[in-house]
Amino acid sequence: MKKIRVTKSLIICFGLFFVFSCSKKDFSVVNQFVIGVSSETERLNPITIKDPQTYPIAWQIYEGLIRLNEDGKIVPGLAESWDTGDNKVWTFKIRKGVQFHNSDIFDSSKKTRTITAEDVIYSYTRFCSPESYPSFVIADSIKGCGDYNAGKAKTVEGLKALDEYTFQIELNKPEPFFINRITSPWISIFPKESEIENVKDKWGLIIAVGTGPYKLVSKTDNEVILVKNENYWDKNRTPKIERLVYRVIKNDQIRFAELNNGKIDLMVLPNQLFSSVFEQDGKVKDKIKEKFNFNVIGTFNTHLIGINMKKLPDLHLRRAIFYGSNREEMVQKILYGYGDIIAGAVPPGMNGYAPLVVNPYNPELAKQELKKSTYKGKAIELLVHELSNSEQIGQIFQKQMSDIGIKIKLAKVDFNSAIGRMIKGDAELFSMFAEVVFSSPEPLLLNLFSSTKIPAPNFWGYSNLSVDKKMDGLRNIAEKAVSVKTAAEIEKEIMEDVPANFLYRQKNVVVYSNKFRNLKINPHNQYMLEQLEKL
Amino acid sequence: MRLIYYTSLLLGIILFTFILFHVIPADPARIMLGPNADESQVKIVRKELGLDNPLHLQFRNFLYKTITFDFGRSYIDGRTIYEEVLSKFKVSLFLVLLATFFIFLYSIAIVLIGVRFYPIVDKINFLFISTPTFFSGVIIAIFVFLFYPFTSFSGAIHSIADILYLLPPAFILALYPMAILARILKQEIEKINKSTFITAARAFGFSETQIRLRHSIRNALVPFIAALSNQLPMLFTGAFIIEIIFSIPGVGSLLIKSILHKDFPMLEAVVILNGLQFIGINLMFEFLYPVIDPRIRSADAH
Repeated sequence: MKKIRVTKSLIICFGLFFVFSCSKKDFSVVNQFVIGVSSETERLNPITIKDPQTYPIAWQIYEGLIRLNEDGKIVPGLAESWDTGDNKVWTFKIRKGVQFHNSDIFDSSKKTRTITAEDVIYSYTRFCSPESYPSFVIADSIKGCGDYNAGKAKTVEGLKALDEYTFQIELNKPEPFFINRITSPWISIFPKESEIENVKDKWGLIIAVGTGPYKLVSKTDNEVILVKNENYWDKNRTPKIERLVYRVIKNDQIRFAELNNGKIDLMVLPNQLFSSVFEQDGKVKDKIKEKFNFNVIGTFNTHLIGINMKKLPDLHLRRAIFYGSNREEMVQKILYGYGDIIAGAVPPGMNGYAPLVVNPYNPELAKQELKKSTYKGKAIELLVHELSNSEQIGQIFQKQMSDIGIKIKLAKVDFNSAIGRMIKGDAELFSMFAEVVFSSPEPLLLNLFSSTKIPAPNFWGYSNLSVDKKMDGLRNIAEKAVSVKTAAEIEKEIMEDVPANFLYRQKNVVVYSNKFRNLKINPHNQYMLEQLEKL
Repeated sequence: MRLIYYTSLLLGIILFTFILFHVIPADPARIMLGPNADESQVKIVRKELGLDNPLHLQFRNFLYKTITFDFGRSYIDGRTIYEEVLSKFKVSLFLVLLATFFIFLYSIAIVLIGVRFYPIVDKINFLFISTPTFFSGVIIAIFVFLFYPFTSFSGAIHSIADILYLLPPAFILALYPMAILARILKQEIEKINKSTFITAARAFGFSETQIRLRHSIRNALVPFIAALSNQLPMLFTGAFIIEIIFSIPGVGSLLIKSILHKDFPMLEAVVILNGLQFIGINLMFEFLYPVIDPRIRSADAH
């Protein structure tokens, strides 16, 4: 009897416990948008973010002086206008009355303050500092930024505030398209209060203050919650969704199951799931089409096989590799067609892209080049890693090369080791991907192929004095049409030497619930969620 | 004697960890700054991290800091390692405790159901042992996410919903050890049931339940506890697959993340934490044996 009573009360307790915990859970948030992400969010510190998953979150919070719209056009951001006389000194008018998100880091009773030119100088200086990850975007251009980056100067000489709302950048040399370097939201504006003693440790972890359409509420390793910034300066772009929730679900299958269950509203489709969403011809399966909207966005995410020019000095062998790579097959097999074939560094869609060779695949030519080379059939090692289909690319490449008579040996290492070996120069071939951050070809070519950039990011060790000279001259060409044409010619000259075998530019397939509409994403892969609407 | 043994073991772990992460040919400064950074910038950061100091100097600093529990900051995002590891450890510890709870539950059930059900138990155990966690984990996870109402975890144990979220992963984590332990327990009970003192107890007219609870279990407990002491540390390190499947930010996920990013200070702290756990669990069980078994107690006294 006693036993039964104990069991009964246990059952009741458990039931109550269940009901209690259910009621505690908030199922009723109406106007929120839940995004499933595949890895833990990094620290939201603008100068150290490097994870492609974290950028889209940070870019809801922080904004730059200028930005790209969804068509890839440059539009004003925190700077309402800018101008330059000689392409060397650039003056920006900072928008008046833009407030930072309210936060305890500001000690006034209002808990916020407006941004001024001082904040811009502070932020740009931080981006030039040695600990900054994206310093390479501006270090070569802005006067004194390189010295500050290398620890040789105390301040950045080229940054000035003319008055409270006027900011001036002086460059090393005139650069007509300098502005293209800072369209990326990587270079964003944040308050100097981030360095206050008791804020420093929490900055990016539980505190992140910018001027963007959404502000940070909480951040754990599993969840980041942002809410609408009521005081957002651009009244035309006031967010329509109250709350954004980024939920970490590492397993792709489970994340997709959660999308199907309606517990998350958006995810970027990983390649592993293409077969569950697309038919073999790349069309969306009917039953999936009913429930979801699809955004296919061209990104600057470029995949390539880098060639170490010291280890493979034979030009004909490199050309054989170039002509023997069937890029079309890779895009079909790996991405179900969701990618653009490229034969050079400048991705299509980039402001100033001029395609030289549409599809260079030519096995006959490849065989002829191989005959001219001194290649004796020794296996060439290709480094592959765990990210971005590197191994699959390697396997297809291996097969294609064996078809024309080149033996490839795959060596799998982790991504960071691959980078280490690549920079050290002891890999013959390496499969790599790069998220291009510039919006014009000139800084991109300079970064990848100028001999001053050996060993990084000129990983191939490409050194050609005539190209160096031409690229330097490219900075000075003020007319856009001429600049684009010259850039294309330089690229062609570089690609004739085949320092790298560029393969394709991946398209991102974003799947989101059809309860929402108007999802816009710009070529920097910035989600303009402030324009998203709930139906 | 034991204290000297464990202290030297710990020192060995610290030394080994240090050497291991300093012979790996990877440059943490380069990893922090990415492939695009200039060599001069990388050099500055290398200096700031103290990586340009001679190895013995680095070890001296490392040892001093480790003893004072100051593991420094993560190379990757500058978080304080001590706080980071501690917060992850809390989650993992809770997960392991829940798993241990399942192990005990299952073991008690084995004892209570009696010998005639053992053929079925054998089959269940076989299933649990032979199914790898990465498989059972995903299968159960998909069902859980379909039918279980608690599918979001805040990242720490804040509410009852968080605890309920951890139940299925803890159960999967427990599958293998509980089957192993149940097998040991079952064999022991079968052996003991054949011994003369059980026959004697039966002859005295004790009921089967009384015999089971008073005599069988107590004698089967020592081998059971010994096996448990082997399985427990493995639960901590083995949790990483489960942690990744269920997106639980515990020590396991931290370990994997730090390995991939070559976050050496974090890795050193995690390895040392694992060493401490191992030593702690062993010490705990060494104190536990005499409590359970009077024979060990008297042997110690002699």
